[in-house]
Amino acid sequence: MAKKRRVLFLHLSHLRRTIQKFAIVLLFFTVFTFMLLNKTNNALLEKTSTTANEIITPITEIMVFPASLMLKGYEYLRSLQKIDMENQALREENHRLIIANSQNKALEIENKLLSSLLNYRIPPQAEFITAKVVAQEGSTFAHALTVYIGKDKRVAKGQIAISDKGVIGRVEEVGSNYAKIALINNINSKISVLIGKSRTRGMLVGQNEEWPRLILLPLDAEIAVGDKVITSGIGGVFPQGMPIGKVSSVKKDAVMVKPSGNFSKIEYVMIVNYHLPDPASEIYGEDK
Amino acid sequence: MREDLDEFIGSLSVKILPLFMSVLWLIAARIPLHSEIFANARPLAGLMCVYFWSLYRPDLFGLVSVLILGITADILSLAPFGLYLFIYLIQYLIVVNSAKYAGDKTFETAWLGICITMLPALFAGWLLASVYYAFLLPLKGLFFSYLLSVALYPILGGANAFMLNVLMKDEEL
Repeated sequence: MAKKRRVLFLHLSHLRRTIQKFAIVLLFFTVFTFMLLNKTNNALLEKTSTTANEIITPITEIMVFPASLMLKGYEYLRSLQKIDMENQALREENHRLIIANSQNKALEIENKLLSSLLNYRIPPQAEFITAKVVAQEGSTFAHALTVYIGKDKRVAKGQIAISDKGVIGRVEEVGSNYAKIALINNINSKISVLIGKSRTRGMLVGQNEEWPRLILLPLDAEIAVGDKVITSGIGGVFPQGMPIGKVSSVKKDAVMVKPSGNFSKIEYVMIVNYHLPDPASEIYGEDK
Repeated sequence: MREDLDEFIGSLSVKILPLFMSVLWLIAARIPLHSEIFANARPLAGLMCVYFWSLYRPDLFGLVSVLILGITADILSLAPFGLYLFIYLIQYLIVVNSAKYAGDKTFETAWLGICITMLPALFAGWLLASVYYAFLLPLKGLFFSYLLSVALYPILGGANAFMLNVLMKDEEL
């Protein structure tokens, strides 16, 4: 008769049965441990997630290719009828832009001359990195984009993501070949903003809904539908004056903002590094 | 020796096929589709796969598969880590404990089954996420995700059923 294998004072079969019996409980315990670690921004969990994403993102990029090809083909067929009208409009716009460009050049020269007279220190130029959207998440639990950045090492957590229309979010996680962008309607997104011509200050917060909403508004704030919402620059993450969207509805309990960038149509995003000083490093020094 | 190795590899590939397919569905469900609806609500492909495989082949899709799929979904998402694993576990428990009521497990029964079993799993996930954020998350997006998942289940279920009937038909049980 085969001898039963023992681990310390327990039979192996008994141990296995016990584990099976409590596997569900163990897994639920694991879930709560994960969530607790996530709440405390555990570095190990973040590193594991980053490494796994680095493997998955190229697979996603490959899978995106046929889908985007089909979508592009469909959109091309739809756009054929509009091409003639668009062509005419573009010619007119081109003419207008040529004039504007020459005026801008003159203003640039004038600006340089005046800056040198005032001994004005020009802030560092913004650095743009264009990245392709390979995955999109839109649900009650999160609103995010995953972009493929290749081997670009300039992308860092906290940088701003913009579309051709305005701010869409902020880099939340960076791997060696991908970056995850938390959109402005994601629940963790909070941006200090200025509203309308009155430049009323407020906080734009995401709540995992379609559009973000404004909170912390002054009691006497006069906000109307259509008012433009721009970044205030307070907090040191976003520079001042970047367009975000327009006020879409004003109710007693909620002021909603329609973002300028259409999240559903985004194919490429620009990740911008404004080289703004990190407020944390200013307080705690470089070794924060 | 060579035959043994081939047999082992063949058997292993059949065993991991449900999990592999589920991971692929999970990734495919995140492809940008340039649609207003899909930007705010996505079908819950992982949850549908957990339902399908734990209903038809619980022997090939056990707790370990649920764990791996759940962690993969959590890695892909920006939602709190562990949330999708929690939802999948609830779904798995419901399906495994109620599979005996599904009778002959025809496609219609399975479709009705997913309509019913997804609701408590999603509600539990919503509740946990709301507690995590200390804020009641909107239910609208979740409801649309649920509707999309139910509507698209025939496509995912059909593809999985194809795998089950064609690729795994020679497998020894």
